[in-house]
Amino acid sequence: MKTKKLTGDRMFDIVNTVLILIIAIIILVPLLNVVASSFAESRALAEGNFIFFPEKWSLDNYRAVFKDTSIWKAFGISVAKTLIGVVTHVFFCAMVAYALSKRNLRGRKLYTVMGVITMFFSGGMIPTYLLMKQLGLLNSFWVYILPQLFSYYDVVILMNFFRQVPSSLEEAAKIDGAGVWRTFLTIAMPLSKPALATIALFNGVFQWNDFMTAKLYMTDKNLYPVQMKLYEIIVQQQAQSMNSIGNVALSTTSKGIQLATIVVTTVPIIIIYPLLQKHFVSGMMLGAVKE
Amino acid sequence: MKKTEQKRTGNSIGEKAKLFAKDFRRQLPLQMMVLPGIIFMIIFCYMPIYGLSIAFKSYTVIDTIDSADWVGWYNFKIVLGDKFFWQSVVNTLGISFLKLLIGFTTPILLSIMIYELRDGPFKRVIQTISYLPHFLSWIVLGGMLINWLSTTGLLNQILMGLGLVENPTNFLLDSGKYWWIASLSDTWKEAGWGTVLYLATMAGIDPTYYEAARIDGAGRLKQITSITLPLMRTIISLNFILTVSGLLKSNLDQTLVLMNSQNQARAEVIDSYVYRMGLTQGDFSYATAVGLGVSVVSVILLVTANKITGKINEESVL
Amino acid sequence: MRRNLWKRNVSLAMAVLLAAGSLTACGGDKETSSGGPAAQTGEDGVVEEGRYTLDENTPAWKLDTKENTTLTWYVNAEWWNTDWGNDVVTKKMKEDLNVDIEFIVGDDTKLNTFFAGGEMPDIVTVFDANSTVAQKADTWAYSLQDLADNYDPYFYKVASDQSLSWFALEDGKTYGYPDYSNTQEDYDGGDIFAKTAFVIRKDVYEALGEPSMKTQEEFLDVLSQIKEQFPKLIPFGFNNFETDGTSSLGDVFQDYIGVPLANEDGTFYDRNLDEDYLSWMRTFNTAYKNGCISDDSFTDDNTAWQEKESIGKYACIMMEGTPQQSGFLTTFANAEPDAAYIAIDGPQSTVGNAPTLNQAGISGWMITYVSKTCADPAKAIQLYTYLLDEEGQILTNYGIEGETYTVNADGKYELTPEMKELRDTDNDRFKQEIRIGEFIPFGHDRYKALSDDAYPDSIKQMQEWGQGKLVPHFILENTDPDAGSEEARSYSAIKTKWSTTLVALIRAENDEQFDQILEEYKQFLADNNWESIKAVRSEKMAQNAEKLGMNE
Repeated sequence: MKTKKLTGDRMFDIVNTVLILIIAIIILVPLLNVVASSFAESRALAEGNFIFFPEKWSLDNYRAVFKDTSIWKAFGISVAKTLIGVVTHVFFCAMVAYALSKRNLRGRKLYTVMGVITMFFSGGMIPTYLLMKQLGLLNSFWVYILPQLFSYYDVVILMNFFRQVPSSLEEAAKIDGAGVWRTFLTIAMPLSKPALATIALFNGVFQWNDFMTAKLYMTDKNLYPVQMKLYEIIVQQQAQSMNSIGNVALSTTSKGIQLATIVVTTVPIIIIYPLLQKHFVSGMMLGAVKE
Repeated sequence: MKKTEQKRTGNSIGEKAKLFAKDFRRQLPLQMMVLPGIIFMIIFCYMPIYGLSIAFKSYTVIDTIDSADWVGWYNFKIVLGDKFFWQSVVNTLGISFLKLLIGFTTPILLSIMIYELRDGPFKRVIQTISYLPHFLSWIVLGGMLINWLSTTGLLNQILMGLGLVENPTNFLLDSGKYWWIASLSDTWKEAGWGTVLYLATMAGIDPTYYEAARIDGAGRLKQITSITLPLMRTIISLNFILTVSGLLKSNLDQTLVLMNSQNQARAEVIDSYVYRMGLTQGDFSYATAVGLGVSVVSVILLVTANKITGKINEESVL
Repeated sequence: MRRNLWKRNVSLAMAVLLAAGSLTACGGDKETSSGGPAAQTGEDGVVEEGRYTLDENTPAWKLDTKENTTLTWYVNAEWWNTDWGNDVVTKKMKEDLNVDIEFIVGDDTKLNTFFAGGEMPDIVTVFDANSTVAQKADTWAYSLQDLADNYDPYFYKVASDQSLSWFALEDGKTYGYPDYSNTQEDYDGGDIFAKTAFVIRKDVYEALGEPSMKTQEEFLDVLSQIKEQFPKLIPFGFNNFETDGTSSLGDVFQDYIGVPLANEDGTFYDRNLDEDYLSWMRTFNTAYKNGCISDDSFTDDNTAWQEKESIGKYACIMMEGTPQQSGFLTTFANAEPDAAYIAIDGPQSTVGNAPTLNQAGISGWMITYVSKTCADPAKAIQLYTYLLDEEGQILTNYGIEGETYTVNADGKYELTPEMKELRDTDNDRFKQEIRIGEFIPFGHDRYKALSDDAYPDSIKQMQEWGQGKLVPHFILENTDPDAGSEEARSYSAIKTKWSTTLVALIRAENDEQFDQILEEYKQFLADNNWESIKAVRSEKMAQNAEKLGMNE
């Protein structure tokens, strides 16, 4: 009996691993092609007859991205807005979600309806712009943070995680004399780390990639995040190659620069990611806390 | 609980209000936690919502929202009477259903497969690789797809190498294949990213459940169906509800890069149609009217899906 | 009972919302009042005392004693370089005009936020003469006549009368001024160059013994030879197809073979259904069936098309917009000088029409306005005069004499050797620090003709080929049905359908299918308001004819 079961589980492992490997290859081949292409010389890229090894390598695309040194400042803005944005967003949403996770909360129905409406209806670009103007957020760093404090979608996710927290633990805390805030901070939050990490990841990636906010509300280039800077570089490259007045070959194309920008902006995420990953891939277990 | 309900219904309004106030006071700390969220929504979501009024106005680039003339349901009549708009609705639904079928289920399977891998570097690397395609923009990915699906592209080379086709064809010119191309490429890009939430949920599962199941002699598949999946029920329902409510939403970036003159009849979705008919011609009213209509339908879908899953799960997730 | 509670909560929310609404209204009031005084400065229409006195023989910028004005200038394009005062061109402008410009760039949405917010930039540049912004400019911009009369009468000496009257709105006044607006004189004078060409790789052309490709038989024959002798090349290509565009095979090709612009009585002529044109589409269909046109050409996006151009993938190309392609053509010409593309006499009309190539029309490209809230309208119109005057045109095109250019014995303008060197070795720095040929909101091709190196070598032969083949298309400009009308919506559906039809015709499997697709298109026209669209366009063409004085 036992050996049979073991071989069954073995088979499962083997099949699972093989399938995962196939999937990984399907995902990786195009990605490696993107990376290789970003390092290809522009003519080799135009020929496009390679998957991993272009005829000629070149750093021109990366030179074009980094030629304007103000990009480093933009990196700084991006890091700052991502860090501050994520911390405030996660805390703010968790606070609201914790209260809303209590099904007996008075007025919960109204709050829910209000929240759901915000998920589907928005006044559009123009009134939002006017609002930002009235709030004095145009050309202010806080336009990256304040409007992003809250998202009902994230609240719903967190709310459902908070509901998984065993009520016995909270009851016990209450008996010990802990108030709502203490229960929230010492019981609910730590037990929902995977969810908090997920929301942090979602929001962090959004903050990192977002350039629309800057495009709409920023005219001060000193406050441009890196994605806006890169967007500008790509747009200008497109215009320049179409308005060529010299007799020199183009050393870069907008496609090459786009590929390079993807690599440049994704690398920091790959570096930061493992820090969050440990919280939801194999890390903490609810059982461990219980004991 | 039931008893108190009955008791309450019997009371007068005044007493009810008193009861509410009393409950509210008792819950004051919790209410104070919700309050900032409510204030936020009022300022950032509800104050600008008057902008929706341009759906009922004849609004142009040079108008302010106040100064534009009211035209009642005119914009809606134009939209609903437009047969090309309806074609885009059909395409949107078609692609969305395929995405629901493939794009919704793949992350669930994938996350279970990753979860079942032994802890270690391999597992982490696989998981990291899986979400990377999310960071490719559609502009870049679309360009690559156009290349791979062309007559000299990768796909034709593979198919010809395997002897499956004789003459290369350009897949994007074949409108019959477009829905599949759209939904499969979207799945490739987003499936790994979609596993994040599920993996977070699974990280919270008490490992003793599995130990107990093993002692009972349950195999791995049995453990998945009897422990993992049931415990993911809530989050799957939540994603399901949101996906269903997004059936009328479509991917504008993807459509704009992959659409061409020959697949246009099957590729045009609501967003791209509105973009081409409304926004590029400065017809904001038209675009807003469509957007408002889509929002209303989405809410109806959401409420319905929430009711249905609520019945299955015994509790609503919202 | 529960419902009652619900109601209470709702009314509470409503109260909060109403309060929020009144807050918005407060904000709105403030804006209008702050907009007030700024608007008045212009309305009195007099130059402030002691600043300068008007003189119709001297540009006002030379008289103006006011130091340091700051103006905001919005350009409705994201690629516009927003630098000011750091390069040769704008530094000189800054010194001469005593003005600081803050550029803002964006798209239509951004522009809309300015209107909606009631705070306009001082100067606004847009791209579409047919747009609402342009059509209703009288509601938000100063008329150029008022500005010129009140602040700078010299403007009339440098502005083109034809352009001014072409852009006049119903009140007879002109609000925006276009760049690259070509008048009949420009077409007649030969100072503007064709931008369309049928090109072939030189190596291929010579290998085949410089064959003629004028008739349909010759065209098909040469393509087949190419397919045989140069299997790596795609024999025939064209610009990429945008979703509802026609690449270079629609009106561009119609111009190339000289399909009439209008009926003889001046009414709308359906050029897409012209017999001569359709017979060439049948020829393209045959070429497709012969394997001389690749399916990929119909799916390539702009990038893919540019890549094929820059590696010389196509043996022949029906090419539109040669100046915009020049970067890619130069790339190929530098890599393979013996194979560089050259223009030859391509497909010709089967009924003896001569080519009627198109160039930028009288509507020009960018249109620049002075908004009614402009902080200093006097300075704004001075800027117009400055840039339109020869001095400004030379500055923006060639820079400063001795420093960046010299005039040679033939009177031709030439960049100094250092400038040429910089341009060809460090183009980025050249664009950033010199900015010659980049400051275009009042530009005109006429001044480019003053120099031999205003265009890259890779397209010069193509431009020469086009000499004498340009014919103004003024009569057809801005004749699309007005945005928002029923005709406009039908027309837009028809344009999409035509794009689909054109490609389907070329890809048809046989003649019956070709005919069937064509019939389907004709049916589509009949089902979608075609008659009234034709009427609208005929009417607009008649208005154009009147504006152009063609009826007199």
